[in-house]
Amino acid sequence: MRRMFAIVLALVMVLSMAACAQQATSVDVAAAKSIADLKGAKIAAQAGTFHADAMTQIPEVQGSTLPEFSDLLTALKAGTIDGYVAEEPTAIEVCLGDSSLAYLPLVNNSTGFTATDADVGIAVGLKTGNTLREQINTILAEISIETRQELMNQMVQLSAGKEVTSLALTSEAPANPTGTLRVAMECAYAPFNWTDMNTPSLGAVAISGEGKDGMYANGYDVQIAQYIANKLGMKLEVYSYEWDGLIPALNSGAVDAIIAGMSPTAEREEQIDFTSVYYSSNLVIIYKKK
Amino acid sequence: MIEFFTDAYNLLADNYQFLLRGVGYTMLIALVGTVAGLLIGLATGVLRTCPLSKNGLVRFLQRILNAVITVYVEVFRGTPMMVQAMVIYWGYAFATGGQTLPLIPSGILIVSINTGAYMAEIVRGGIMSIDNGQFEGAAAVGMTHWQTMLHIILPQVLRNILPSVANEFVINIKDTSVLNVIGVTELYYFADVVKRQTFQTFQTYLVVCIIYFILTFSVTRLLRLVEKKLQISDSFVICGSQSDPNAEIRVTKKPEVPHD
Repeated sequence: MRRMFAIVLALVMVLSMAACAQQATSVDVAAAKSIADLKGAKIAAQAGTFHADAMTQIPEVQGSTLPEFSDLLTALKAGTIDGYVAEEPTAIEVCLGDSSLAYLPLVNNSTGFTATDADVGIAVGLKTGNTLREQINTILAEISIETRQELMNQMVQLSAGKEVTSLALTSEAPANPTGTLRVAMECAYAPFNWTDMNTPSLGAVAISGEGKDGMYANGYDVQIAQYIANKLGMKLEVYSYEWDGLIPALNSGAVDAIIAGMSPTAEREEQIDFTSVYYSSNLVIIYKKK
Repeated sequence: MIEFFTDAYNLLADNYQFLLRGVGYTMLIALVGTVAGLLIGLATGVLRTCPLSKNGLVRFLQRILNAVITVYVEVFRGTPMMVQAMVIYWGYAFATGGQTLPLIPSGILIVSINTGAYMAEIVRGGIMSIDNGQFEGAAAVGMTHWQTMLHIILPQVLRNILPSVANEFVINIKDTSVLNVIGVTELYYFADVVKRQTFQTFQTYLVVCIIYFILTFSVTRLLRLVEKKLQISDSFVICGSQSDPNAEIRVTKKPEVPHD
């Protein structure tokens, strides 16, 4: 009797585990025209980002979050999700590097997610009350929309391993820097910021910190950071921190600015100040081709 | 399948310098952390078993010290090392207005105090396992608490707790991986970086998994050898007796049969 009971219990456990390991749903992501067509799909997003909030706008979504952006791609390739939320430049970059992937070109506030500029734009984060804010706003205003687009395209190409000969946004490094601008980013969110091992790509900056020799940061954020530092007459230092470590790093004074593809959401505004937006993009869904 | 192995090989070939650096830091932090933790454990063990003094003030101080040790052990044993790392690293940065602790030393510090909390309990258990006769014998020949501990108890404790210490060392080799949350460049940190660059999640972690296993397996084998060396022999010699300081008393399992 007791043995039977144990066997039944074990079976129930195995079955419940099998139930957890569901495969992706039968929602046809490729044919979706708007987020309404993604009804009931298994979609994932990076935890602690606006993407995760936006994800819940999909009707009856079976949403999940992962702490690290690159793990979303792993989940997609393993077939545990139907797709994941990303910014359009990231989607282009990922799909360039892997022909088995594609993305839904959703447009914010029409076919795509409802989002304000503060939700999907990205801005430089500064400690509350930092007087550099006005100067950085002036510097950012000098960069035209066309230059921003062109620079982003180049970063997408560079990140996907393609050749780029000269960058759209360049500036003279100051001969006598007046100080150091310490900037924090993840160095793990291509094409906004990524890490080059051993060989730096065009325009890459060495990552500062112990044990980080031979590692270089590059990406749209790095180029913007370099431009701001040069225009301020300062020397740029890039520090890599986990996403959740970025705001503590800024608020403790370990770095002077966050330039990490971070959106100036209301919750973050309570903790730090943001400059004007330096890039803005559509949120899209990356999926695996059938 | 073949493709998988070539992926793994290319991964190693492209990033071996970084992975090796990661192995170096992992082993450094784990080794220093375990040794420092053991010293903390021994110190707390001796302090906690120290009999209360007859002097009122000293007794009061002893009670406070014991309370501090108890709080230390409970707090550091009862919270995850990853959380401790975040609290210590960022807490220091906030407290000093932006100074950050150097990464490798702070990694060693975090592992040491965490291991120390476990070692305190391991050593306590080790001391409790020593036969009471040993303490009584030491007291009978007029040894103080420190002398008893240093010359009689701790050598036996060390031999008895060696398997547990080896266990902690192996755990530390693996657990240094949580230090990547503050950016300590140990093996897992580089695994993460390589994964983000190559998007080959499974291949990267499998390679790193094998590296971790090689590290822990060689450490357990090495420490097993040390254990063997420290095992009590069946026969030993007691030098000196009560009546004759030059006497040698041979204790053997099989008594030597004297010839007539």
